[in-house]
Amino acid sequence: MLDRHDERDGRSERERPLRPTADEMGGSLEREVPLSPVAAPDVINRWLDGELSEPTGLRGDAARSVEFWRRLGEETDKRRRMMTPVHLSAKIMDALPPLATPARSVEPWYRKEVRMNPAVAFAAGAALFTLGIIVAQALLR
Amino acid sequence: MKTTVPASPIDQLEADQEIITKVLAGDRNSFGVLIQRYSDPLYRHALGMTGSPDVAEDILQMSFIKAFQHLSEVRGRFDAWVFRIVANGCKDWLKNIRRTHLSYEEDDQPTSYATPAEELDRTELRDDLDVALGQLPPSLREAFIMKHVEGRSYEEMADLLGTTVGALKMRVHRAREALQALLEEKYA
Repeated sequence: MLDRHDERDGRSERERPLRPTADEMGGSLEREVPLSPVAAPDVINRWLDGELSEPTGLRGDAARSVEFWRRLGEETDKRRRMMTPVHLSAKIMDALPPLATPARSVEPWYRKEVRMNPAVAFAAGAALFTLGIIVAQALLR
Repeated sequence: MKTTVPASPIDQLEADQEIITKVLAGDRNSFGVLIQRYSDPLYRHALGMTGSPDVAEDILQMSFIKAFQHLSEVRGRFDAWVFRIVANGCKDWLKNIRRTHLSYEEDDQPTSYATPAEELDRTELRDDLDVALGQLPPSLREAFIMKHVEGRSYEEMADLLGTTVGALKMRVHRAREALQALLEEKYA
């Protein structure tokens, strides 16, 4: 509570009792009641977001909120350590479909690599030789 | 076999790309390394979103199969790409649940566990948190789970969800407020 420095009630600071009277308490106590009993105060959200260390010295609803989130934190920590059931990996692997065949090449035939072996070379040579004879005969007629 | 995630994001990206190249070349067993590497955070996400271990398993299986079939389309980080597949799978499941008018609370709450031992193992708070999470809109639930269960930073969340840090902070704060309103009476 803030100290009052005015002397509107006619008493000096020394004359005023240490505890406020019932009339004096009324307004200030009402203001301390939170508007919503479940609204998490900003300080608690910032603590839960890791921006602040655990708040201490809170009272009333704020203190209960801290206790509530501490309990809930124990439960969420347990969940964070949960593992996938051991059988699941094998089950997924067994259910995998066959690998899709690679897409057909769209490369044109004239750009494709030519693989030559002796048989292919001999056949190509023979074909060219035959073609040459046919062309020569046609020209000589 | 548990494969550790490489230290830096660049190492991770390169390591994943290497595996993807192997898989695309026909080594399908290498895909298992990617499953081992990323299944835990993805499973936690699916479980948090659906509240059902069986559904989470199904979503994870379907997502990895989809990832395998479209592996040649991966550009950039594999973990971010596969996360989006899982996250969309969860959202689709939630949409279908609503469309078919099934009660989420009755049908797919994690109280329907496989064994009584698993059920006994669950604490009251865990059950209540699942029910409360089930009452949040999917976007708030997703943000809360990514922040509190998966332990991601707002920057990482923004990167994965394609939204801003400010929008995500707002969602997480609203989720906290809603969860506190739902659970406070019993636990505060």
